[in-house]
Amino acid sequence: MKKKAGMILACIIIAASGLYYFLKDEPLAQTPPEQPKDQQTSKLAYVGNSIVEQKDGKPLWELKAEFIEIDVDTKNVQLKNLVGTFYQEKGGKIEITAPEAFMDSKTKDITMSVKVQATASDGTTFTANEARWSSTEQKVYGSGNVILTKDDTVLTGDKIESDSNMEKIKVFGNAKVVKGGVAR
Amino acid sequence: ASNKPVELAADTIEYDSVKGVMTAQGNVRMVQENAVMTGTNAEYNSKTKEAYVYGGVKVVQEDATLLAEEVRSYDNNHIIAIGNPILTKGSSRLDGPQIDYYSDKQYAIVNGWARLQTEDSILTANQIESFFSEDRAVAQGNVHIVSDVRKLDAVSDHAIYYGSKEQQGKTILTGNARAVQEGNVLTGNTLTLFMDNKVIDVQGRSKLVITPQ
Repeated sequence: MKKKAGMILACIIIAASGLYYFLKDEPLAQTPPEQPKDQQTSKLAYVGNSIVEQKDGKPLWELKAEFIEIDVDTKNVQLKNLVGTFYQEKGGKIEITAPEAFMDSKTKDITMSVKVQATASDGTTFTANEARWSSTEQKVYGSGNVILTKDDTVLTGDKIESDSNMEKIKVFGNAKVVKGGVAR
Repeated sequence: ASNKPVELAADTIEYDSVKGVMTAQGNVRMVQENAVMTGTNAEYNSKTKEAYVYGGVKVVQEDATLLAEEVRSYDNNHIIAIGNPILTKGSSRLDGPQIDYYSDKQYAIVNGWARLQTEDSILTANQIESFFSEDRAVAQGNVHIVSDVRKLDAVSDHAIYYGSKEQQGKTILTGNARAVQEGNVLTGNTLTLFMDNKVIDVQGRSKLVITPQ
């Protein structure tokens, strides 16, 4: 009898130590650790939508894209395969396409990259590796292999700055203008 | 007016397409047809076809080179150079306070105080016109020709100089002409010098004073 009780006691001890061992390694499920604030982004994604910016009821620009992603906190917008329409002060408009674009919600500036191509309603064309539309200044900035063709004038250079009507244009770095013919 | 393309290159260019005005700064290079203009700054009006280049300007067109501090170009053809302008073409060098050069006519005129240097003589006058295509120059007022090579020193009111080899350095002096060569003095109304051959023709009343050597 005595022998039986000992065996039972041993079993209990083994079971208790096993349970302890088990619990020590696998703590009870706790609430996940708090993630640092900046890694916490929640984004809204839209497919085949557009964003419009107006001022005094007048459209400043309209952005259409295959894919739009808005950062809920910063309200900044990432766009893929952008087709943007920018309304010029004098009434015309410029259509700009770019594989990548980013809109800064504070400044409303739109930065476009990879291969930017623009065509204005008066026929002016403009290509660059990167471009930025400044809503506050109503200006277009471009950089990298810049080519702007207006009537029979071709402007090329490293960087360009133009008013929204593409009438007053500055070219910086290896600037060249060819009037009345093809650049050599 | 030439409608050939105009090419303007620089460090920075501003273009006002409404006014048609281009303003270039730094390492300016302007090309039209076979004329190349370089300088530090430039302004070109594509509507009026007027260009203004300044800052160590150099204009090269075929074998003609124009150096000056400032150059204004009109209609892509007529060039006015000021600021120690020097126009060299072939072996001729023309300078003065201002040079007007017409590329279509290959013609230059210098007023105020002009000097034309050729291989073997220096011609100065109040005004000199150079007809490059004819290799001919016309000098007006206080004409003075000096040729060290030929030991010649001549003055007159007017002069026409023919530079081509066939013309043997022919120079026609008219109006109070006076030529001194190796001590001999010849005066007359019209003297024709053949500088290559040291020959002088005289027309009208003339006087020759020979100095024995």
